[in-house]
Amino acid sequence: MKTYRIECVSTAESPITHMSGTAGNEAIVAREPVQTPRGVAWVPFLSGNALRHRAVREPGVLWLIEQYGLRGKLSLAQLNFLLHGGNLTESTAHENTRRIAEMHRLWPLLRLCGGTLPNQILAGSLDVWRGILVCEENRQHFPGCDSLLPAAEWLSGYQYTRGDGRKLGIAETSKVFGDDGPSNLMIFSGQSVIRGARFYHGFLAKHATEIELGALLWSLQLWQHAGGTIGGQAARGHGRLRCELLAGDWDQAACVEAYRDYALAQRDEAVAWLRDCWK
Amino acid sequence: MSTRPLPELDAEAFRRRLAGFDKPTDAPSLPPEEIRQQAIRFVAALPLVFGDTLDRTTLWDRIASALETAYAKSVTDRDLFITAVLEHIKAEPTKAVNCEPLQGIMLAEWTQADSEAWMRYLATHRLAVLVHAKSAWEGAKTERKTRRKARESQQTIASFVPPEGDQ
Amino acid sequence: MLVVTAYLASPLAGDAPYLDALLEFEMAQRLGVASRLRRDRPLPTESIHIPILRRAMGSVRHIPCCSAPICEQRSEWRENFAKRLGVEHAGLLSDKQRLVVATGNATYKSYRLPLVVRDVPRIRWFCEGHRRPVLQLLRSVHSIGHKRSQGYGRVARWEAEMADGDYWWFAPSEAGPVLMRALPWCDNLPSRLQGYRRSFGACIAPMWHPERYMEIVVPC
Repeated sequence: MKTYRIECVSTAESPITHMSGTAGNEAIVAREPVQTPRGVAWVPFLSGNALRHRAVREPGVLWLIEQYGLRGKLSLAQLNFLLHGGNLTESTAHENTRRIAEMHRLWPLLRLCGGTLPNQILAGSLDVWRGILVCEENRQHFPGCDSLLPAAEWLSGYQYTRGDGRKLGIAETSKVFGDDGPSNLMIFSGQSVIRGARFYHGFLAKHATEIELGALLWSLQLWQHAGGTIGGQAARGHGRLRCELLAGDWDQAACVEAYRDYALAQRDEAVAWLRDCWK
Repeated sequence: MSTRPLPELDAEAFRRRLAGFDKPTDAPSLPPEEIRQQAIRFVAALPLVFGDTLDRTTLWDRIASALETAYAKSVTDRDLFITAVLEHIKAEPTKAVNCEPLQGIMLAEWTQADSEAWMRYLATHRLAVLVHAKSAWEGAKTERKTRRKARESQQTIASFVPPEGDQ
Repeated sequence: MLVVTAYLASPLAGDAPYLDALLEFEMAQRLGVASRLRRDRPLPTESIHIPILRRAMGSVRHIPCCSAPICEQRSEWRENFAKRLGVEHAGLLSDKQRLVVATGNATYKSYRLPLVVRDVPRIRWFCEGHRRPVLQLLRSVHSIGHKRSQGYGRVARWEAEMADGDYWWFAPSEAGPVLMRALPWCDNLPSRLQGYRRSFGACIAPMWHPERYMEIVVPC
């Protein structure tokens, strides 16, 4: 077991709209204050929470659900646990160390991501870093880079319309809107980080085995295969990231293959463990 | 004999100084009251350039959302901030260029710290600035109306005073 | 005096920990006793050894000679972290489980919770300890504060240097000694103590255990 540090650079292949809320009538990208020689600048970033779910947990767990034949067989609580970490709902908490140890053995991905059973918290071992925009304001993180553009150069806006349903001529407009009703056209807009922007982010798998490293790498591969999306508006093509790993002391293909073989070999026991938790 | 208050120890600042974290900050050179007045002056000038295509009854709501949106877009660049505000209220370029109160603010020679303090004040005291700006705007409107009436009455009187030589 | 500095590579959520508490937890993990430290169980009688000097004050023994964290804070703002039930995966549910789910309350409640975060590039502690063992223990501390799994409080590197003075409990100032860490409220506190307020809590790790709660003074 060792602590693996996986560093990545992800390039935006479509506008990134990882939002923090609205200001006025415009959706605003998530930003963080960064101290620069010229003062505090607000620079877009990607939250670790979002990366943790979209890049690691969701793709990895969905693959396991398919491989373990659990599609159409999960309870709501099991779905919530696998995909979202679950909830502590019982008033009397327990520390069933056997259950924890079995989870570590049977579900390497869940050892990384952790979760909560109704009466027990299962701590994870994975730290997911925030995504730092590669820009002039974040120069302190990229000392070897000579020329970096300021963050403002990586920002733009988008504007879409939701069409007026009356113009389709399908609905009986007199019943729905009235003959002289207001237009149903809606314009919505917001900020986005433009294509070509790069984010530096990473993962720290503490005291992990090669199998768990393989679980993490396999999740990242699955995430990329499904478009590598982060943030909102994915249905409109936003949020695609192309992720590249910085070199590390592991054989990516070997780790992934080892994890896949291992996960498939644990199938029956893993499913039995899951069912046992919600007996 | 004159006395002055005893200096108070700021323990948190003392600990930071001890840890070597104290360094001079780039504070604004404008006093806080001047920043406040400039903020009110700026907002009070916006009705002069408010877009004709917009509903005038939404004047102050629109100005409020303009300030909020502009600060979200820029907290360090004063020109970008003002441009974003003017775009949001659909100001016509001709009116904006000829608006003297706006010119006064855009051409003012402020330091970066002054500009940031001014924008930060507008963002954090938005509603209060709107109230003061509306009051200033109404006052300016009343004054213009009074001056116009005075001019008109002078013209009326002048029209009744026969020119010299006719009496 | 040892001056330990943490250089952070990401914003800090929550409060920075006491260095002695951090070292005790790391040592407890190495000794295999960390899992036995729980709120509902009495604490072990023997204290966990850490490479920092301990002294007594009042009736409390083994108070580490280590100051509270001193943060170089530049900005403070609020971020949010959210969770929602992924109803787009409803097809994974068994037929009987495809129910109407309340997402405004109860188990599957969606949330978007605020988190106050701070831009803190450096955190410093003053202590009386051994440099190399302290750094060895800190080598496995990759992040501090809250929500570390989401990337907050990531430590880029640790540094420890020797310096003159002993500011771990009190630091002299013109107005009087300034309190530098939480200590028991007792008669042994120096007169004219500055920068403190009374509270009820812990001054020795584990700070969260009810057995440690007592009348204390904390730096403010």
